[in-house]
Amino acid sequence: MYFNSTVFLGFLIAFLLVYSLCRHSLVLRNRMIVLASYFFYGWWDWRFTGLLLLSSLVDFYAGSAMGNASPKGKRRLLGVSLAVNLGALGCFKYYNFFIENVQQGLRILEFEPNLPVLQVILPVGISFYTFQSLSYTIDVYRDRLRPQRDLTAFLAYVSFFPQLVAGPIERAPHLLPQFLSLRRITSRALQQGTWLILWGLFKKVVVADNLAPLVDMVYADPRIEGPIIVAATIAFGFQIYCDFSGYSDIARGIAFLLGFELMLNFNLPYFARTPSEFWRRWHISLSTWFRDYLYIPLGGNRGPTWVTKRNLLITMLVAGLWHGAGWNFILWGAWHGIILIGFARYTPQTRATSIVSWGMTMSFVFFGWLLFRAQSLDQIQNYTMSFWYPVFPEWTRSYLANLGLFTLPIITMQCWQYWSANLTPSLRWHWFPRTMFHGIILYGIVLFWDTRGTPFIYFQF
Amino acid sequence: MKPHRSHQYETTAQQWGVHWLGPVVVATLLGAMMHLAARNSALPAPRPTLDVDRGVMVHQIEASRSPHNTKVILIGDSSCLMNVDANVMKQRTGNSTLNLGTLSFLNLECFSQLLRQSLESAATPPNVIVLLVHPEFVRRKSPSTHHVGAFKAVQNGFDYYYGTSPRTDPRWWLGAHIVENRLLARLPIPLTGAFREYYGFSTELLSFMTQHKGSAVDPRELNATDLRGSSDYRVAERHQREAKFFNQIIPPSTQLFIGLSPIPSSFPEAPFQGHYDRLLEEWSTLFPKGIPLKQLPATLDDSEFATKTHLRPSAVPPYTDTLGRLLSVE
Repeated sequence: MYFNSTVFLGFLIAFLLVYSLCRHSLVLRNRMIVLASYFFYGWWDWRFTGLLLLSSLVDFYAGSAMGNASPKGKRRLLGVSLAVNLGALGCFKYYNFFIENVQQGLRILEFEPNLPVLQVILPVGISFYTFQSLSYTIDVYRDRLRPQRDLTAFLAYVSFFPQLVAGPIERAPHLLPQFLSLRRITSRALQQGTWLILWGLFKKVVVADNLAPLVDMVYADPRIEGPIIVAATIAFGFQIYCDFSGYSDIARGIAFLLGFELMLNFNLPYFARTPSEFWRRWHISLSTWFRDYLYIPLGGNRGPTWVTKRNLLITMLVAGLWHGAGWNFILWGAWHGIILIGFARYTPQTRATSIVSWGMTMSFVFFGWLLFRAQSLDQIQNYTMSFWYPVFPEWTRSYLANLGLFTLPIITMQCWQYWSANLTPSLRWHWFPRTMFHGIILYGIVLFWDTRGTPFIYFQF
Repeated sequence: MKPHRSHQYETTAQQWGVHWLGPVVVATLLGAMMHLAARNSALPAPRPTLDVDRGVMVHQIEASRSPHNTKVILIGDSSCLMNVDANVMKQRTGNSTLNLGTLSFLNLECFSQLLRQSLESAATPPNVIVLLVHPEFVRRKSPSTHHVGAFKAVQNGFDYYYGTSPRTDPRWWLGAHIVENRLLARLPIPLTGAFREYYGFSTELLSFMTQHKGSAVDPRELNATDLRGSSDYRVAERHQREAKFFNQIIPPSTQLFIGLSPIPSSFPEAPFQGHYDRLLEEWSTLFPKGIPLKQLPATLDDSEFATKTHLRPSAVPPYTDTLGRLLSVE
């Protein structure tokens, strides 16, 4: 059930109606959210609701037991939580990758291994909800959070359908208390929620889905050469941004309409002037997760310079691997680790250096997208070696026309958001022009709407 | 202590109305404007080159309306479109050639309309008209409602809704099909699958067809599933009625040739030549003025095919050459 499908639209309207009727009982509300969330998740494959429930129950009971446990006991309980969550993740997401690489390695040593490969499909959103659930036990273990006693609220926290399958990856101290308190759906929340849903859908349906064929057109052919690779990589940079941030916007918008507030996940990342600023603006919920639960425990920037660099590199390698079981993702993580290290002590001071630094950062970030999108290391090598060859396919003009047309709305809006220092600038307007503007956005969505919905890129992670 | 109430709405119905219904009203007004503008010809005419099929139809309708002085006109389904190169034909016969092949989802009535328009646009009647279709077209019991609908819509300059039920589709009410047909389709539309790899965008497909005087090529690869089905071809009844109109528009001074496209040699269960001959004979009886092209190959090796009905690009020139030679002899 994709956010951009007619089925979800029906589901959401039905849920909002029922939700509005049962505002007198907090327990009932949370139960409803859990039921709706499991229904939403089970729509893909009901069998994976068991995995979601298992992950939630293990973390809930591990967290509860930590309340009275000795330090050693707490460590054991944390170990159980880590083993179950990372075990499930490893089993579904990384096992086959690991086995395939071991087999290849053994073949180099002239062994002919026949290691078993799992015939499983990746449960949608597993990386998101396991990280969200895991953060709870880690926070309880660190005494930053008191164990939760309300199982329904906890299940609702882990499975909350707006952000279940592609984030933002929420933290228990921020989201969990919201399931235990009176939520107010203010006119501001209504405004914000409506706008975020509209704009998120626009980004996905109008921009990302129309850039997707442009990206596929080039990246489907590893032999292609010339500057069209640059154009396709730019297209992918905007596609993945609009696809993913569109999802986050819709998730936040729906949460607003239910009276909840989810964390900001994207904050105009393509305006970042340094790689570290990029990571403060891109997939904020993940980058802060890794900062708090990996980078800082590794020592962060408290030790000698080489330790900081090592920590950065390890964190980004793991962040790359989090995205997918593939060498290109690891390479992408390593690339970001390297550029973070390269820019570690640099802050642009003047307008001129800011512009130069922005240009360099974007070049590095978009080269990173090439690593991310490529399907093989050979493709990465070929594209990197040949993107400057003066070779132009016959359809270059058509390609650039499409690229320009579909990136124009997002570039315009981003500039407006950036220079007005407001992510929701149209909400300042008088109701009449605002409604007209929102109506035009809605019309654009309808124009490109595919009733079945198209998958979001980050669902595969 | 947990609060009893779970959530409360600090909003009014009017606010929900402004935020939710407001954009819907604006979008509806925009939709109404589109319908109104389309009705009053305030928008460009429909030119729905939104995919390969519709791109081909639009191109051939426009080609049939362009003034020309062609000596050979090819008309037929997609096997005519994809298997014969009009430029190669010109080289072989020395006569300028126009390929008006379209799709097997259409019917003889649509072919007749294209041909009639082309004859009206011709400075002088052509010497030769070739009706070339695939046995699959001959057998097809009914055309595709969608394709015929889209064809007629382009012919007559109105918008065709390419879905199943316009009355229940909000996109229809909001005039999305009007914007697609009249505005978006004027942009280069990325094609899908092998066509995207070969041509890129709709504009490149159309310019390829213009350069090749209406011919195109099928860039796909034959796979085993293409060869499923029966090779027991019979002439579908519907063609009898539609053929009458087709026969009426053939100029007296023009020779009409009737041909059937080849099928992959491994497709038929039994030797196919006899069946092919009978099918051609039966099909030709619908066109009394027509001369059946009996020497065209009934089958070709599987390696020559892109699909069950279309030849690979490399097999097109030799096949065109064979057809051109037969036309010269006749």
